[in-house]
Amino acid sequence: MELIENIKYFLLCQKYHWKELFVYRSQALVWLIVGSSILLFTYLPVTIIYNVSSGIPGWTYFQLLLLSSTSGFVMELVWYFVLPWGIVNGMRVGEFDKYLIRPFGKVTCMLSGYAGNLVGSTGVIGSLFLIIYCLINLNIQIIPIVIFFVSIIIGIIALVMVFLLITILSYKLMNSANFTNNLMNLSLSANTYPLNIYGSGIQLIFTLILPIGLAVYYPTQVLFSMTTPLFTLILIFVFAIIIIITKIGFNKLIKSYSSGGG
Amino acid sequence: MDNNNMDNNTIITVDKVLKKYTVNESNSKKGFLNGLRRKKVTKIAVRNVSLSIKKGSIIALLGKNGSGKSTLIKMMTGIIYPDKGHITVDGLSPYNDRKKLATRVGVVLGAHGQLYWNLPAIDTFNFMKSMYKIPEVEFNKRLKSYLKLLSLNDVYKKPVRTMSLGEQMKCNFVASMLHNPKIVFLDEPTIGVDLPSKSALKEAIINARDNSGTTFLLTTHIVEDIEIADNVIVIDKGRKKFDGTKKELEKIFGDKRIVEVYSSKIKQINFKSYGRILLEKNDMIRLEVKPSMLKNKKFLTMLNGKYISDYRVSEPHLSYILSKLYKSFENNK
Amino acid sequence: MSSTYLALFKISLKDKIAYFKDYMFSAVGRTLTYVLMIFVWNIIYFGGHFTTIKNFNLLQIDAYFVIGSALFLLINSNNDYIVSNDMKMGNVAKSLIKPLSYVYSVFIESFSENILLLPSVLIVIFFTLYYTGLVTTLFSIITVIIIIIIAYLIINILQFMIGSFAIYTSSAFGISILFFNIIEILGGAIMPLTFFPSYVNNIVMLMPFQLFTYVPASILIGSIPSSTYIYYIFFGLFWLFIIAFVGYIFWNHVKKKISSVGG
Repeated sequence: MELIENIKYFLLCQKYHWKELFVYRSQALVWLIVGSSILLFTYLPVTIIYNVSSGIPGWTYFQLLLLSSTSGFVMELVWYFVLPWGIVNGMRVGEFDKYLIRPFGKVTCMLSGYAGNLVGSTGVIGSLFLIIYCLINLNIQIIPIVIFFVSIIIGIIALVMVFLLITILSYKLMNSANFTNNLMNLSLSANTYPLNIYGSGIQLIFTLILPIGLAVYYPTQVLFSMTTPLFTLILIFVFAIIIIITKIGFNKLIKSYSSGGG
Repeated sequence: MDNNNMDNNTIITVDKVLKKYTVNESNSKKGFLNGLRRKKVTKIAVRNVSLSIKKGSIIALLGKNGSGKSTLIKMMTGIIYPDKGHITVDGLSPYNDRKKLATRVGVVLGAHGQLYWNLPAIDTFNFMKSMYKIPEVEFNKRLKSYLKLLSLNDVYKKPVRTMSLGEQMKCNFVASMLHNPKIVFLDEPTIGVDLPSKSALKEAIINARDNSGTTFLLTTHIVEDIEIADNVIVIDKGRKKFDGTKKELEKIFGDKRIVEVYSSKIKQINFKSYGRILLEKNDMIRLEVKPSMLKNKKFLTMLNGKYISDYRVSEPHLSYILSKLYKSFENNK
Repeated sequence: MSSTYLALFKISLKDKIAYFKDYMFSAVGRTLTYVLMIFVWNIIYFGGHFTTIKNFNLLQIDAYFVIGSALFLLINSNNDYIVSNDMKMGNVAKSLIKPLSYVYSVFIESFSENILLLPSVLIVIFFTLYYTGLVTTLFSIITVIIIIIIAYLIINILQFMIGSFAIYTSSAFGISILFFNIIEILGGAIMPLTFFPSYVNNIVMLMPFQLFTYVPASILIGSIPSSTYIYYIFFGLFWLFIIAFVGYIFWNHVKKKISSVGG
């Protein structure tokens, strides 16, 4: 019940937030173009790699393009919900106060207050088109596709919580939004390619510490039958643990929010 | 906390609340590199403050910039947690029952506060209606009433960014009142606001208190804002220095009278023997005297003497009383 | 007057140093995204048993990404954000009545940020060349220094112009990001420009963006012949002249607009 109320409130905030974004139409158009440029960063490197070489061993062109697009889709959606600059600035100047006086949970307040950017939204749509394009060319059955999307959606929820927590932590320790933003950029770039090319250390980082690999690389592995489908259940279980732990961490950290001025 | 004060009429209680925060201060030593080094310093924003507020009252929380007033408000609304002590607002703990309390309180933080900056104010009002689930009939009735009271009928349909500060504040006030809260916190609501808007806001506050029994707590460092207050609480350097009515404030710190004397021979009269000289000009002098001096024969004779063209006796202005109050804080440091 | 600008430089430097930790995280993070490409290309070379791809051997491609990202980071400025923000706050209009050139002030502010990166960039380049064993000549180093200075001026002028667009759009952040994305690709930060299809390469090689990453990095790793160094210097000067001229005209137009409507 409370979850439904929170979702309704989030959607209400989005409605007015988007209405406000489109007040300046030319600026909105520029942001939409910027968002669609994510496609270039996904499509171009992979296409060039396969033009000049035989590509990454064990991965065909469309498989790698699907992996890259999934990384883009996942991270752009996370960015849509967690905008480090907005959140840190809001906390720094006390703008976050106006959300805390509303009758909703603090996570909801934070996400509703700062979610929704034009770049993220076009990036998501563009990446989704690429994913569908690759799926069509790869001729994958419908059930694995459904399992794939379910696991990445749950993964996105977990990643939103993780990056929200990191944003608050970096604000508390360093009063910085740059740190989280760069971490998100790095996660996007690193997961554009198969995690096993980086060696076990980096693979571990992007699996357990910044678990974007769980939402991108491993679901893709399951999709291409590179690992057992049962792995999906393990993934969902791990995501649930991540969501719980990060929620607890967030609640503890947000207690030390001191607003701006006094 | 004295339990005698915690009766059914009390809507807010604050009990020995303490709030600290850490800031980075630059090193005061000379030198380029020394200037870069920063040290963490703990500041106490609110020190062991206790107070209680009755239902349906208008309370002015007065204090200089940085005295801790806004911090106190933010703790009462659940925005921040106190480091020590307890707060109860309408029977709820603001930080533990924040969501529940949020439906019963309204908060005005800054001029454009909750308003969507690039959209007309009506969009924010509709947003509030949806968020607080205000029934359509009630919403329309309340909105119409506030728009009329605050003369916003020509204003509420234009983008907030095009409004004056006064208009923004009035719209912000309306937005915080639409869900008919029991308690409204206003943080410095009249800063930079024009005189007519200030008057309209004060009228709206009194109106809400009288018609709906709404309790108001407004923080301010502007003396004129307290004219509508039933009680005044003065905070200085995080401590509560005064909690009482305006009359009590005047009695303690306004136990003098101000006498303005007009004469062309000001320099020839020894006014020092009558009281403290506040202002001296060639043809006017302003004195602070004890009330008993007004019955003093010698003083009255002087006032009615041939050299005095006119004189005026008045009670000290509230700003004067408060400046004396702040001075007394400095002296008691 | 020069003492005024020197004082401005000192205070900007002090301001940047105060947030240096934050800035370094940002710089390291951005560099790492390019450096990850080393892993990608290593696996491509080893997996496909390549010795060279488009005249780049494995050591060269590894060095390219490290040096290229360091150089790109060094020359990138914040002029667009500074100017866009100043326009929004009305600071530009105020600055125009001061006895100080607004353009120089902005350049000094962003230069103070870039100069802080110089020691780390030099260390990165030195160790990369040392570790990969790629020999570079004095002539190459001098050429790279000249090209980097030209590239720095070009990118600063372009970003200043982009920031000035805020006079029309209230915020130029979107255009700034779009521009940054474009120069990342067209400058060769994502991968060497010779990897692009030839029809794309032919167009890209006419643009000045190659001076930002591809040309200086390729010179240092020895994948560009020394006979072309002078060409690239004159190519850079040509584009610098064009862009500076366009920038000058554009800024005069913007100043007139600021004077009439504020900004």
